[in-house]
Amino acid sequence: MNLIKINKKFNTKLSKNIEQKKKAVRQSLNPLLITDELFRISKVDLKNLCYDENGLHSEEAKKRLSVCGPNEIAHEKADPWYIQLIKSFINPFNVVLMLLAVISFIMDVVLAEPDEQSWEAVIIITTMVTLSGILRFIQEYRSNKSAEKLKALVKTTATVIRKDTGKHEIEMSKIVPGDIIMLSAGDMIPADVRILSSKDLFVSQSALTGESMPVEKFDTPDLSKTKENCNVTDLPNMCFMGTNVTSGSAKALVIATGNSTYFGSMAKSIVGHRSQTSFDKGVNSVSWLLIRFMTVMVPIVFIINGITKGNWLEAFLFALSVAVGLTPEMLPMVVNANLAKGAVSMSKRKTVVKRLSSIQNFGAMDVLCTDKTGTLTRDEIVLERHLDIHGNTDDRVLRHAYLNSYYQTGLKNLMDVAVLKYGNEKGFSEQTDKYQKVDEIPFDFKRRRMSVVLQNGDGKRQLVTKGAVEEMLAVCTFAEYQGNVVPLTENIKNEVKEMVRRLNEDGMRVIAVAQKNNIPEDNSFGVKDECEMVLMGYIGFLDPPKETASQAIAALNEYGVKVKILTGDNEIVTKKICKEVGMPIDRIIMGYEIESMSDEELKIVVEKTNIFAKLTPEQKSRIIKVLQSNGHTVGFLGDGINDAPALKEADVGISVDTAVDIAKESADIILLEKSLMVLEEGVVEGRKTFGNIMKYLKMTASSNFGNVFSVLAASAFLPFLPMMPIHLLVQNLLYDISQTSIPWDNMDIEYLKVPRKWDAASIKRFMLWIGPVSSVFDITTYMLMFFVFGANKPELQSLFQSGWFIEGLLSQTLIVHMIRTPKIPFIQSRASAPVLLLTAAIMGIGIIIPFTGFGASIGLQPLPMNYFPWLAATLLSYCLLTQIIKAAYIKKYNDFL
Amino acid sequence: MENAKTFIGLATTAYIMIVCLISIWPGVIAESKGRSFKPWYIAGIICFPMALLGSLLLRDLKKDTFN
Repeated sequence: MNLIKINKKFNTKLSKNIEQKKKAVRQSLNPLLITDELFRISKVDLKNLCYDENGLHSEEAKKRLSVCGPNEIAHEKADPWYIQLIKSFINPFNVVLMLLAVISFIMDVVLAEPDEQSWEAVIIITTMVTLSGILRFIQEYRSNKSAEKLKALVKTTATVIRKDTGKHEIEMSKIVPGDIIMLSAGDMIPADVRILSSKDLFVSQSALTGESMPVEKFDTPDLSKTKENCNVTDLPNMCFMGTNVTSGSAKALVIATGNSTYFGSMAKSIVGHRSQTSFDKGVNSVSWLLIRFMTVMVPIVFIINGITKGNWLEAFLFALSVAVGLTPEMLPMVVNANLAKGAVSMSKRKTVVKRLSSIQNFGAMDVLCTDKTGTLTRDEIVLERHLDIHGNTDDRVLRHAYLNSYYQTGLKNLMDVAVLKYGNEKGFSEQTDKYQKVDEIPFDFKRRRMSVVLQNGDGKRQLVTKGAVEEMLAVCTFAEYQGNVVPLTENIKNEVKEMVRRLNEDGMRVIAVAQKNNIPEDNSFGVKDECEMVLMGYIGFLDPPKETASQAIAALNEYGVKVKILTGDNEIVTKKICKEVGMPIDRIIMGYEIESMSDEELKIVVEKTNIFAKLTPEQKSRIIKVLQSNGHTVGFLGDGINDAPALKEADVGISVDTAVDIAKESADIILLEKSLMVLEEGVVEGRKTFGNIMKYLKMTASSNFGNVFSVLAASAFLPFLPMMPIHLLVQNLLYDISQTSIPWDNMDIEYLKVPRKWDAASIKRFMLWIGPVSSVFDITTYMLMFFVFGANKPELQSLFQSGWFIEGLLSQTLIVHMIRTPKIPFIQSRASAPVLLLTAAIMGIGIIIPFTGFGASIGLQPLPMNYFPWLAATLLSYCLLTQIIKAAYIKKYNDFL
Repeated sequence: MENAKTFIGLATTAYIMIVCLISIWPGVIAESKGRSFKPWYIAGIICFPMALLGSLLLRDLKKDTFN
């Protein structure tokens, strides 16, 4: 609901009950209406907007919150449990299985004679679908719950002015229409707002428009210049939820919140816009490969059995059961349960996983690019020095820096916090009474400096500027040199640079301070006024590295992840930090060098360089793109506004809890704890997740491929079906149950040491190599039952089928242990307890079934005791041949899972 | 007669599959010595014992290159 409607309702129709108002809010959510309203409001004169300069009263805001609801987008919230449950069941495999269940129901129940009705097939297929859906739901629900709990700890806030409490930070979700908010660089725009006053305000609207260049917004634009058919985002006096301030500052009036915003109306198309990763695409391609496999195989099996056995109905039912057997119905469960399990275990380490598939990307990551300040270093910057040009301690320099930090309202910078803290300790807080702020020129990443214009009690005005040394030298023409103001000559500049270099070598981040008194009597100042300034001196900050930084970098290197530093800071400070965290310096490249390089040149340079300094946000993003085009999976760890484009570009964007809003919003993963060791744990968790998913995929693809041979050979050469449809279904259900434990399996330590990436070709070749092994022993079992045990007539088919039922189930269950490791199973590498117990239980159940009443009811019969030594020999030979083929596979491809 | 057909069919299928599988070894050994996988794999299918022996006796081209 927009502000004008809200104001009218609250001011004139207070008698209306809350429910009616809520209904009105719901009715106003039409996207077209929202756009029209925004156009209309942009043209309304400010005084007609009925707002209070001092903001809303907290009580009034509370009332509005109860009517308009929290300032959140519905599509960003997790679905309610029942929707999650339904979604857990919707996948192509379950659709196929339910279709088969319906066919079985028609054939076995509806069309069957009353005394021949059989519900078993329908029940078994439905159980498979239920098992896969429920297990997936439980894991995803747990993962969503823990993510929600952690997300509640990550607070994105906005600065609001309220009548009774003044200017303060509140959670974005509590913003209501009519609130007055303050915006500065790094802020997410919390709602749709109309600008009331602004100062060099530039906003990035890329989330809404895709346009990467920031656009300028004004409080008093000439709307006549706005094109008639322009987009709502082109309105120069309106800012929109989902966009962010890149530079400048503003005061704004909240017009619409939550789903009533322009972003809310577009949320369906914007949220979840991220393209599929190679992993997502790969899993889909394997799914469709297996479905195609099934659709080709089933008609062939049906026709061959129909022709050779003459019973077309039985052949049809058998073909249906083969279809069920070839459907990897557990695939969505295993993939999602694995990812969700990874997210749950990360949440135990206080890490929020915003995008589930980023867990897998974490494991695939082989290059981690990281910003320096606030990520590798502690976010406790301390002011260490305040010096004049010659390097002597100078309180005047500190006082000017203090006034600049005190009066600026732009970017909430850690350095300003450090200046204010130090200044307060020195008693400078009393100085602020002597000055009045006239104007400010906010910080931006191009100028890398900020200014305030102050006036003292005598009416004397002064422009005080502080910022990066190079940028400050560019706007200074004088310097306070040996007690006098003298022209800033090349010699003095060189002296300054030398002093700064020495401070940098001590690990200090240096900011220059300058002032000028000769300024116009105007009340509005801009970047053009930052000229002909007098350089006063410097302030130096220490930004010590995090205690865990060196440990984390060493651990990442051990796990095959190369760490590269991408910083906006200068190379000397960066070098010092690198030394402290034990990072070898291969080569340092500066931002200006990159600017002149083509992508082809940069592709070579990025491989040989591990430190990039003086980078702009765009250059950080470009380096990531180039690394990706070189075939790397790239992670980016950053916390600043200048890191946001890189965080979005990276395969895994990682941020920290103390980061600016836009960085947290752009990240896939947010670390809530300061320790960087969680990065290593994330990498290991990602690789475990990936490994367990690959196990299932390779197992299923190869065993389905092998089954194709076994079924074709049986169909072509046996005078009866090798197994009744119901046997195939029971066997498949038991096999499915054994596979539900895969997400809880462990991986060999060697597997975890190397980055793991999706490789579609490896699944295909694995299928071709390992698949036929089981078929060999299926066929030898056919021969054993047919010739040794004499089950060679249709009357004796039950004995034959019982023999293959056990061998088939046991070999399929054993393959879990054979394929889960390149080592010798049970001896060199053992599965986790859940896998061991569940597979052993399923094998035990499989052996017992033919001896039970249930076995008899589905047409199985007890096997003679002399069958079991043959079975043991078959399984032993199967393991042996698999191990031989495995060894050959590893020798050839130097890879297994 | 019916049983003989079944025997021949199943035994032939099993034999072909086993040969196709184990012939991978001469191919892999030859490849590890710098030869092409495919010809040695096919040789294994035609006459496995000879191909295996041949691959084992092959001179290691990779070693020669390093020397």
